[in-house]
Amino acid sequence: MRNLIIFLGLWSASVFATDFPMIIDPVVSATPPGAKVTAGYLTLVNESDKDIIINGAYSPTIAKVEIHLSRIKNDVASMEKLDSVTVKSGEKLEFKHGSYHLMLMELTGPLKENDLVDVILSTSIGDMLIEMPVKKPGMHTEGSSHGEMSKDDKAKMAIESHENMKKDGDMHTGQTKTVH
Amino acid sequence: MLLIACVAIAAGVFAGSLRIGDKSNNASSDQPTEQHAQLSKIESQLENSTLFPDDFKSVPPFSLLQAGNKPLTEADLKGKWTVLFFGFTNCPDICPITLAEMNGVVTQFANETLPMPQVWFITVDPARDTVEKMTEYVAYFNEEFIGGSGDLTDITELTRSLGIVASYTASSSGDNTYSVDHTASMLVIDPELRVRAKLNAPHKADTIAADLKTLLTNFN
Repeated sequence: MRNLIIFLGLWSASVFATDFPMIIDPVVSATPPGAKVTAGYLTLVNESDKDIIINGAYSPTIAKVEIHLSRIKNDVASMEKLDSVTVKSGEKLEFKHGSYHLMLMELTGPLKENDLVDVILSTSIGDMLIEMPVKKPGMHTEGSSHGEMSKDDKAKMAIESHENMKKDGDMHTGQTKTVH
Repeated sequence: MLLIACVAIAAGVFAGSLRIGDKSNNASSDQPTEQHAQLSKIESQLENSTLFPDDFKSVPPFSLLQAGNKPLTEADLKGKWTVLFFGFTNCPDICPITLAEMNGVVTQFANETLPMPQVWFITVDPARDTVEKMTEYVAYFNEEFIGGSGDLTDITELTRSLGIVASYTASSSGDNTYSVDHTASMLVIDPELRVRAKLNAPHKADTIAADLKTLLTNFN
């Protein structure tokens, strides 16, 4: 975990690396032609002893990124913008299909499979940059029938990959870093 | 699977013997009871769908547009099973995932003797979703899917008659855009235009494929 956080300035060096939530499986849905919006999904794991509030999101390449909540109530699908979400201490928060998601808006061109989208989450302990790979919709979603792993498997895999990174010092895959 | 078949046969035999008994006792209420028993039997096999009675509702005449600005009408439903889904392309989560799951259903029908129902995605937001846009959008998920648009009045008439909800709400993003709340389930229309069932959300390819096979097997 510690290795995954890159300090870009002296200011952020004062923040303990372990305070930042662990990011598991960040992914953005590739867009069908003409789509002006798409969704981003990820799981945040807060291993610190403080709640972390996500106050917003932005991106250097996407005009607008918002935190949204999809709901299906009485068979009607609706969506609302949230000002903030809290990842409680010792808990995880899933951004997933039919629930919380990052809404990437005002797209000027298609997002294709294997593209990478940088999204910055503004949190109560600083900003964190997440590199989100683009995948075809439905190939990565909760409960889809395409060989989904269980949450425990995912968490285990994420921890393993972190361990491997520690070993070989690879900072490039699934990285999490603080930015100003 | 074999077990289900055995249970079904047993249930059929049992229902058959009951029917004979019913006829001798009370002929007037025989038919509804029989239909009810038959529907209950099918419904019990469905994983995440709601079954409607035979005379529940039929798709009324309508006039929309499909690829190449060709008409899309009730005539295009005749003779085929259809899965009908209403949504819009500015929908980032529910709509694309649902269509992706429907593509998964197509894969599961590939080795079936039963025909894959046609899949229609009709916009409830024609102001932003032109027929060209709908055509491109659905083709991204599957070339065979049909995208439909048209006049808002015509679309509203169709959705209302089918009990589909579309409600336009100001976007909470604070700009001048709007969002559309809409029915999440999909309708299953039979080759004679009867609304047979509703595939309930959340949509998953495995469940939808299983339920469509149950419907097609029982009503073909």
